[in-house]
Amino acid sequence: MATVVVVFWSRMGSTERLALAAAVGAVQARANIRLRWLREDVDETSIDAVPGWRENRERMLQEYIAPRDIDIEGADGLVLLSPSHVGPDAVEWKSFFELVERVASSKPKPAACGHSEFHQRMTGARLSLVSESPEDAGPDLPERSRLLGRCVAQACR
Amino acid sequence: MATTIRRASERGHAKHSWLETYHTFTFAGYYDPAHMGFRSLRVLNDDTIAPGRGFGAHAHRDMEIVTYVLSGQLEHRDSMGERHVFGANVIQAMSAGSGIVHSEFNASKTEPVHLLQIWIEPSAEDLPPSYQQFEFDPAEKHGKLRRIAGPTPDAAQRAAVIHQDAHIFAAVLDTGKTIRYPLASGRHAWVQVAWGEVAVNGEPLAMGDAIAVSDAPALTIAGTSGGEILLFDLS
Repeated sequence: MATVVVVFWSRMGSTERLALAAAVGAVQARANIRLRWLREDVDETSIDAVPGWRENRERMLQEYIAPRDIDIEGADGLVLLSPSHVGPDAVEWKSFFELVERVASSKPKPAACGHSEFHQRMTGARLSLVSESPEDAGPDLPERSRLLGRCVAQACR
Repeated sequence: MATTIRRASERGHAKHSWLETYHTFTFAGYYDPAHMGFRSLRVLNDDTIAPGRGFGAHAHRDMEIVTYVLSGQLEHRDSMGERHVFGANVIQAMSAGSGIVHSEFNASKTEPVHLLQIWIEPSAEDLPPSYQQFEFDPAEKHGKLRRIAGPTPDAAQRAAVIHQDAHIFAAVLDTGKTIRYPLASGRHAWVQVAWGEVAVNGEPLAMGDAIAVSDAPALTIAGTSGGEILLFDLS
């Protein structure tokens, strides 16, 4: 059974919901899934300045671990999800790409990415299924995310 | 009549810093080919989760999952957008079907949550995922069998509808109280002791013990020194 790792950046939970939808899509295609949340490097004062941020952050810290080397080693496919204002140059994504390069396996991984710039960073990827930002794709975003997950899982077979 | 007793002490056991769990059947790191399930009953876990801890987001597919909290409060979140906190005398049934992702956490920062989690294999694959949750009056299981799940809706009392020819009942029995459950021909029963001491068809059972009964006309369940049981009536 293929393993699809869904990596996402989320602050208040909207991209988290898309990540869950992508994971469901991969499960529908009979893959194992791992959901990994990128920890945002941010100071405490900023967190408290936004209502609900701390609560949501603490919940997600509890529910998700950050991507680890073994996640990438064990991944047959990757789905990356990020809000449109958080591009691949964000510090969290940069360290993720460093992790991917460090443990780059000999086996190219099918990947689906939110942005075309993400696609370029995933040099080891065999294909990228979507290049536009999921945040800009309209109201059917969860459905598109589910299809992303499903496509990646199918590509892993 | 065929009966088999599964003792609490024979179950798989794992103790982590945040979770103590007993597996009646093969589960996770516990594998025993002699205990892979009973009829459609595939998993029966007895979990105690430390305050504030739990199971992070993970996926299920093609499984009817019933969670029965004995004490404490469990928080559930899933990919269908369901988000609930519930405790004892609440039935939660999740049909994983074609795929769901969920997390389960102890909602309390101070008290453990103790629960039984039941997995029943569905009669069909790729069903649409669904979630059911309802509360019942504990008086309805006191001294009698209260159906908590079955294959069809119960007009008299709400029960979770599961995609399998399987019925689950709960009962709390006081000392000396005896109830009888007729077992239809070709049906198989599993009785799990949630807590306390009971006797099933004369066999004494303690907390965590279970008995499988087949080819018997009826079950007689006696509250030896009081206790709670779950009864599964399976095809």
